[in-house]
Amino acid sequence: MNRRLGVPFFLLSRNLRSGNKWTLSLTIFMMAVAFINLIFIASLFNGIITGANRQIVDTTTSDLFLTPNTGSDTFTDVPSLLTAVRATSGVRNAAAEMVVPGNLQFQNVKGSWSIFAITPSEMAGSINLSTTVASGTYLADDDADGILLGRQVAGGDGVELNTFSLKGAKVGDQVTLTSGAMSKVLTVRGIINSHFINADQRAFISYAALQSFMPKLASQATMILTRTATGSDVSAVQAHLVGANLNVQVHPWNDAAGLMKTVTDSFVSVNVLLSFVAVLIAAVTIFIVVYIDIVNRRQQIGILRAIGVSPFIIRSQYVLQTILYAVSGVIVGLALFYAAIVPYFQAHPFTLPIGQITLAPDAADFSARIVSIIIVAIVAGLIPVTFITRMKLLKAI
Amino acid sequence: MPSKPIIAVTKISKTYHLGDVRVPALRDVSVAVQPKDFLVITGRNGSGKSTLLRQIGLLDRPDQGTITLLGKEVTALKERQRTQIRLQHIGYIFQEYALIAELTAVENVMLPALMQEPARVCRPRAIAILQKVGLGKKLKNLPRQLSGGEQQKVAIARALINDPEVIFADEPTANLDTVAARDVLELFAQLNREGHTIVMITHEPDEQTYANRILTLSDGKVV
Repeated sequence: MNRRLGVPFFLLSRNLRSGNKWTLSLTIFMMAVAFINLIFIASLFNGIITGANRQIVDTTTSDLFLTPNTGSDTFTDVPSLLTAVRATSGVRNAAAEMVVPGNLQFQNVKGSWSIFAITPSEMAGSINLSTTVASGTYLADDDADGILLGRQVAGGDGVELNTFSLKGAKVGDQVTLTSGAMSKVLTVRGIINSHFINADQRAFISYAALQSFMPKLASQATMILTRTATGSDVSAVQAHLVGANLNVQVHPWNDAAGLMKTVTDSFVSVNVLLSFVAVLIAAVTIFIVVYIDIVNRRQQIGILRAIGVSPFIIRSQYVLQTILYAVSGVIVGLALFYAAIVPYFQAHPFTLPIGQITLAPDAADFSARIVSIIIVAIVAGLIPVTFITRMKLLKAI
Repeated sequence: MPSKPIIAVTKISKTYHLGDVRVPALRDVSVAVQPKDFLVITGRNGSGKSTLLRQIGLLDRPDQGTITLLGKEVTALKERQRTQIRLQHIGYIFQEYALIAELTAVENVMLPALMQEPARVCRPRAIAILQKVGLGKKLKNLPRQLSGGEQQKVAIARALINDPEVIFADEPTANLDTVAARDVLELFAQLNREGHTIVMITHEPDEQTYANRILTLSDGKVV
């Protein structure tokens, strides 16, 4: 039996030696395209899901966020709470934010948006607010007269939600913040553009500004945004914070994902469906390639059977051949994907409301897809060759 | 005293179905082939010669009757067992040579032996047989690089590689010129002298002179 197992390798090697090199190249290229089709959509959806999650963390919630326990709307002893949180194992930074109730007015346009008071230097360590300033400057901690506007709040030509914005407020313009009977004129210091529509519908002032405007609120916070240390386990840090008895509610970032979680869950489902379709396409491609090859070799297979080569050996040759096609296609596909497609989309990302999205290849997912395409190749190759080897010998010849 | 037949065909019948039309190809044919026989089967086109050879050569199964090969009833054997018998005990030579286009002459010849022995054993034997049939200088030629006569000699060498007890040849000279045909027939005669049993189909009356027995078929029956 062991000696016989060398025969499929012998036949395959001679087939490759004498076969048409262009046909072989085209077959492998088709396999590569089928494989790229299998991994491209998965990488794209993974990119969307990863990108959406990253945007929520980086622009809105940080890794963990703390809210007051039930019965209270705000934290009152913010400095000591921040000190305790920062002292917790695995915490890299903590920053407070306070919802400012009020409206904004620019010229004769008035509207209501989410406005937050922050300590700008501290917040820069929890979310990437300071690095998303598209024009102007970031706030200084002692800036009592400045405001940062999200791009969707400032508005202007080409802004997605311009209709519901201040319709073109720019850096240096003055806007009026009104809350009840009190109002304060603020100068726009900068426009934030994180490319995440949810995050860009907010405005920020400093606690110093809030102190000058609504001093009662300036010692309070509605949320503490907590960034964990690089490489630390977010769940473990959450457990540490819960165990620290800070009398707060500790939430992972995805508790605030809300609508985005529904969207990403849907993408996961669509990804599974499209992956199934892609595997099916790959299977049909391999089947067609092998079927055409085998039909062209029907007489040869008949001759092999006539001279005493067993159907098992013949089937083994074609299984080896389809594995060769599949593995070569995977290698070429991966090379094209990583050398051309991924770099292209890194240079030209998709712009979506959740941000700029690039492909996010997942090695573990790819391994499963490689295994699946090889299994599919074996099955798709076995079907036609089994059909031919079970055909009446004289008909095959 | 006659020896035990190497092939015993007993009342076999075979009918082909072409759509709704039934075409009887063999009708109650019986024949016994003794060891070292050179049996020529002859008859007009459509007389059932090739059909009979395919039944004896285990390429097809009769509808009725039995075939005993080397003392073993083979008609009802499973395909896997029949494949093994074709490999070890039968050499079959086709009219159209039936070589594997991608294999060189020596590779075509050694292929059946590779099913049983390693290449280092098969290759020298294949080379020796090709030298014996006069193709020692064309070992690495692909079939398309050989003449019809040379291809048929490669097919004969392939049939001999596993040292079969019986060789079947279905009009082996039909596609050859006179000189090549004579070479091939001389080769069969030599093999027969060396002890091989040969069953050959031919149309040509002068080729029948190589046989020690002639079986004539007409309308699927032995005449």
